[in-house]
Amino acid sequence: MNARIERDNVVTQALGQIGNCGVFLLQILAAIPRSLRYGRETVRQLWFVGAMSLTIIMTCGLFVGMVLELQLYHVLSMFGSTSMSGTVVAIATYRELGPVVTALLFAGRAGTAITAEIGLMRATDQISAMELMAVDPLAYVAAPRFLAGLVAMPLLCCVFCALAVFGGHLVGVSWLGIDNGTFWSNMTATVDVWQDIVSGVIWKSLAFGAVVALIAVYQGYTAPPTSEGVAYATTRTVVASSIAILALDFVLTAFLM
Amino acid sequence: MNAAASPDDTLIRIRGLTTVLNGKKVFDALDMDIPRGRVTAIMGPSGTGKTTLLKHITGQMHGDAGQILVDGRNVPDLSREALYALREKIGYLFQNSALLTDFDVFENVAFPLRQHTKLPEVLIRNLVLTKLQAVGLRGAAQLMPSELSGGMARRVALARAIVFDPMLILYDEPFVGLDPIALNQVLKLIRTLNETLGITSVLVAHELEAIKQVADHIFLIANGKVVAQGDPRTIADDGSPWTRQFFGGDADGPVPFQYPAGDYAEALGFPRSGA
Amino acid sequence: MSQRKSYAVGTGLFIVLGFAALAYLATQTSSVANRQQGASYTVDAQFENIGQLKERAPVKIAGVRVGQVQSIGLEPGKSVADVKLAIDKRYADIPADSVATIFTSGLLGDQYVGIEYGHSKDRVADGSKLALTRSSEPLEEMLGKFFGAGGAADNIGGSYRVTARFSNVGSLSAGSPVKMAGVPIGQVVSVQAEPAKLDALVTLAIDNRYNQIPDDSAAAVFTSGLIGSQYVAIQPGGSPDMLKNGDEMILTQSAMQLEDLIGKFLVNGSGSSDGKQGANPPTPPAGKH
Ligand SMILES: Nc1ncnc2c1ncn2[C@@H]1O[C@H](COP(=O)(O)OP(=O)(O)O)[C@@H](O)[C@H]1O
Ligand SMILES: [Mg+2]
Repeated sequence: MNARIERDNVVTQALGQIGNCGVFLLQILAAIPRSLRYGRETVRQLWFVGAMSLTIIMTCGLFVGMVLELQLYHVLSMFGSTSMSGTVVAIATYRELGPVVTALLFAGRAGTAITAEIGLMRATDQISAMELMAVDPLAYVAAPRFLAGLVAMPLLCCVFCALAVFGGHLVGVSWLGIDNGTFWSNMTATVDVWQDIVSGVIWKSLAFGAVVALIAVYQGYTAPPTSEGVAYATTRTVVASSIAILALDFVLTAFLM
Repeated sequence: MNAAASPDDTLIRIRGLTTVLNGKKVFDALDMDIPRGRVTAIMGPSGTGKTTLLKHITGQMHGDAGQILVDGRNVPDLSREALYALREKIGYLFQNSALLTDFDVFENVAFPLRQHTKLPEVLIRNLVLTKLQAVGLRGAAQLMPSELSGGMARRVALARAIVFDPMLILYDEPFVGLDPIALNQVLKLIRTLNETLGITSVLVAHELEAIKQVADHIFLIANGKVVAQGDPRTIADDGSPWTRQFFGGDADGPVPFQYPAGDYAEALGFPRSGA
Repeated sequence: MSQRKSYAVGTGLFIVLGFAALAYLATQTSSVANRQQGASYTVDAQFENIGQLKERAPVKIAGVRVGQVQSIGLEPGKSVADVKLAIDKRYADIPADSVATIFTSGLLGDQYVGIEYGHSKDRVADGSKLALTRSSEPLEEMLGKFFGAGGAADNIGGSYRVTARFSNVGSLSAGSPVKMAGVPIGQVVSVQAEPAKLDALVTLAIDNRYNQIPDDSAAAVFTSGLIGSQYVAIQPGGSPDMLKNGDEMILTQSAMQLEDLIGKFLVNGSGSSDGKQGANPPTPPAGKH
């Protein structure tokens, strides 16, 4: 009995959150024209969410490429087609692993930082102070972070994918002895710019960037102004982003490919 | 400039303001006239809605009924743009300073200028340093907010609030947590700003002695209404039970100690004795 | 102020790095790397069957990419596909009687249009038509002979057993189907090594319904597709006597020969460089899995 009430609450709460999030998205979108005058702030946020995430993205991209190549080499050697392993690394990374892993890392690295920062700004009245200085916090705080997330994700994803290919090349060609020429010629013969790079890397990561940035900003904006509230909001950013990324990935894959 | 623009010497006119928050009537048909160019103090037991009243004046919150005319315009009716234009002319000093933690002291004070003007860097620098000099913190321009004491942070916030030469400054409990020296410094600043620039000041505070030194007029609000008002020297003598309790600091009187609650005995699980 | 500048510079570097990575992915690891940029002219070709040909598929001469498929359309009322080929301006000297053929890169690869030069002195011009085309069908038909489809036959009518010897059965195992003309007619009962004769003895159970198989028919080990499972295909002979229970089939064809045959169809092999095709027949039977 109690458990059911609890579950209903969880479901209605989740739906309510999604609804509020949608309204918040509209508010941010409406604030974007006004936020253009704060271009400097967007640049600064791009530095924090994008450039500062490069290390983790590059490291992870490299290792993902290396381990994929290693696994694929062993499986494909059964069919005598190890020279295709680089191609599979590229396609798997461009279509799925690149956008998804980058987005998950991005949520953990940049999303939490955005939530905690905005949550603390609210808790210490900085948001109200901006309102009272006639600076719209939606345009000055929310929109630049949202835009920065939107721009940073595809760029980070490209870097991730490039390093994954590099890692695959390192393991496949330098260590396992696949021929360098076949490695590249198979890849260039198979990877399609539109199918794999544009609708994989670019569209997916744009969508994930928007979703993660929206969730992070929303959670920070609505966090209760207490230390516990901010901590909880930060956790929720990671949980909600991860679920949203994987669910959206399925939908996008179904529609794009 | 504003004093000349309007012959009316009431800057803020509140009529019939009624606000219900969480089922509690915070304001009940409140009327209040705040004169232009003077220092007005608003006092009252904590939780009566003094901060809420300031939020109504700046349009952060809207009441359920009533008018708040600031400089002749009704705040709840203003469009976003008009409201923001009005806020540019209002300085607000937060209870907890609310400095932007990303920026140093200089950039905090420069923030409103950078957002609303395209002044050359030299001019911004001069304006900011002038205001910092006024609050005595020109030397602290490069410090970050986390490196400031409470009193310093409040003075920086004050410098930020006056950087645009507003027509009105709202102070929310500016003296709380200040040592006597810092308190007197802030007090002196409020008076100087009012005397030299003619800025209308609205002061929410509990420190009666301090207020007596600076305020021209005091409103005492309780139970959502103005229960007493007048000159600082004479207000305590009007003989109403509210002023007697508040200015006398008595624990007993019309101001309840308890937040409204259900029956105590019932809450503790005892059978009702009376019924 | 200086703080702010460093953000701008760092952010600028980040954006440049991101776009450099994108440019790298797009130009070095994708089909763009194979694509000639520059002006092209359009040539029409009509095919009866384009198979799996897609837009942007390559057009090749002698295996070298010279352009791409621009569009594929179907003329209403006609059962031929209109394919427009965009060919690089540099390759303007294609004889008008050249033949456009739809090929497959490897067995599993994508299809492309190959142009074989004719002898005419006339050259194809922008908007003209290549009259001679060969559809993708012949290749598939040829392959179809080697790729039976379907599973094992049901065994309702009882079965009779025959044996056959192979020098190499590949990965054939008990339970593999036995097919004739691509239709399952039975299954492999056992595969045993015969140490004395150095070959494999395979026992086949063939459904009683199919008792009209000439006794000089050949048994061959084939593969369904390149990496599919193997099966025994029966190719009927001309003898008036029919196979009976316990007979041995004399004419057999081992598994390796199929791979040789396929080698011939890997027109443009996608580069399995590890010399597997055409290997010597006596590789151990269980070499593949
Ligand atoms: N956002 C809000 N939502 C609901 N109730 C509020 C809100 N803000 C203030 N209140 C209530 O309004 C009353 C007045 O609060 P406040 O204006 O902060 O008092 P104070 O006079 O001490 O500044 C309090 O009872 C408080 O609980
Ligand atoms: Mg208060």
